Amino acid sequence: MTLIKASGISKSYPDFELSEVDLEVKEGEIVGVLGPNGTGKSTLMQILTGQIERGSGDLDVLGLDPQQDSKELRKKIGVLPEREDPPSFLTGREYLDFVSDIREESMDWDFPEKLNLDEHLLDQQTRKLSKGERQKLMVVQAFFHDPELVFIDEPLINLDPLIQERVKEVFREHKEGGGSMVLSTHLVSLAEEMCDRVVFLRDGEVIEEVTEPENLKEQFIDAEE
Amino acid sequence: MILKRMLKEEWRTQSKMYKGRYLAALPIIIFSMTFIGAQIITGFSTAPITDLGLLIMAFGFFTGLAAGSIGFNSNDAAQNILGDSNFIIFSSRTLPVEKSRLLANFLIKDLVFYLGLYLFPVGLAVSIVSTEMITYTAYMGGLFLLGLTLSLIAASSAIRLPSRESFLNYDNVPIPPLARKSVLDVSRSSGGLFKILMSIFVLLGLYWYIINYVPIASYLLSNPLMSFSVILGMMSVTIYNWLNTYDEASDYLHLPIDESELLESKFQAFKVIALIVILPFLGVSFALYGGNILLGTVIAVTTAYYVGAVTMYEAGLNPNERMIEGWTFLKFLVLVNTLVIPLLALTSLQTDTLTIIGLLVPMIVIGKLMETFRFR
Repeated sequence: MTLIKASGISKSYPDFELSEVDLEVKEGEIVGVLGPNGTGKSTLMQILTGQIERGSGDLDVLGLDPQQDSKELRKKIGVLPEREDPPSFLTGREYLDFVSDIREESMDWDFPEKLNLDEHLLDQQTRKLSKGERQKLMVVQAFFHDPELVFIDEPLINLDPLIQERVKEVFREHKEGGGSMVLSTHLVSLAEEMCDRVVFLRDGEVIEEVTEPENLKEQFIDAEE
Repeated sequence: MILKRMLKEEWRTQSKMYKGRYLAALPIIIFSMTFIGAQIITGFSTAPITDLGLLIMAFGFFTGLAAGSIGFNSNDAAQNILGDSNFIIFSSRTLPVEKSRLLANFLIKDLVFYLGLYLFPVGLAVSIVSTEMITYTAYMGGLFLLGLTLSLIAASSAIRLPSRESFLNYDNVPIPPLARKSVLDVSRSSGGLFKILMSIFVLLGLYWYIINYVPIASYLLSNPLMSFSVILGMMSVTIYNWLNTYDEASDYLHLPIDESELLESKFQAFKVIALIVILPFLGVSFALYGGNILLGTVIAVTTAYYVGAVTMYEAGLNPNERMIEGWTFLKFLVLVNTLVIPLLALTSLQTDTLTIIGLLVPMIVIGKLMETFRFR
């Protein structure tokens, strides 16, 4: 079953253009969007999740048009944005309660514990937590409601190696449970490890789609040439 | 060097936010308005010139208090809580410069802005109208510094009792989740709920001064509780500004929340806090002046609702920026004054209750229409 069908997605800015992007994501797949910084990965993710409007192109995500049904779509999916922290003045526990209330889904409190978010950390206002601890809260809010599709933008930034492994474990469990993900990253190793397919993005254009994500660095260089 | 760069940064930030030409025109507008006001007071009223002097001294004092309340924000700003922009004040994280030095420069920079944008044009305008005002202008400067110092002391001693998690937390604020979050944001940021009381207190102090020392306004004292209720209702709109200080719509894009829901939640939070804040102020006024407390409460709450609804309708989620834009502010003034000035006039006279209620009804209806239009 196809969860995302995007064709000819474009978006223009004065100094940048995302141009004619095609993308398809099927049930149970992890699809990577790989490319250097500033190449349009986050713009594409924002379009796919209805956070910004596309300039042109056709887009269907879980049977919805993200531009028309943005809120409805965000109810169904999980989003882990690149640059977003939990609200500074709520404690971690309050933030997760808040997210749980907004989504009208109960919180599984074992989940934060899996990421080493213990009682003490959850009772701190998030402004007092480290960047990595805040990122863990964001991971929890993206996955706790077990959405069938999750969008993840540069998920491992600020996480120590041990927690990186635990977060990757969350991704794997999600996939094993039949979930799908779109993973935007500039980390070749992460894309190789996690993704079933990878789309190379360069200067706002898809330059290659790789169905066997091995030796991605070489494949990327080949595609550029 | 730091100060110079911070001034440049402030100018660029404010120009971006408020549009450069408005910011550059602000001292000219303040000068012109003060000049015209001073001419009217000295040329067309029976008020002695000393009243004008006292008025600008009060202006200096309360501007100082307002400038000092930056202290409430500077701590949050230093922690980069007020947004994800990067400013020179955050440099201590990456450069060998003390946070205290950056904070001191940050406050001096804001001082320069207040002095340049507000106090200097006022002082110049009144001194041109009458040379007697030169002395009062100097007093105004002194009182500005006094107000600033008092406010900074209050900010640094930060009465934080209401800010504790144990006092207000996610479980004990009985309003919808989004509104609840806004209330917690305000109560836990620097200064806590105290900064709201402080903002209203500053404005009420100015009101108290004007009615007591400016003869032209003393008619408000003929029915003090009623006119005070109107003024209190108007001033509580500052709560709406505070509620919109700590987040923006883009913070919620990863969740199923749309902008109109967020706006509705801000207004819900405003209504709850306004009610809580209005009652004790009214209680004090009732103890001082007596009068019909029930009618006073209805007037204050309705005025707060109406002025809040107008602000929400015109400025949306960005009242701190939008209310400085000329056109938005003009619309706000027209919408508010069309009903609130007649209400103030009626309540200052010994008008019967039914007439006053007759004016409150359209305020509620229009407020409701604004809510309906904005939240649909």
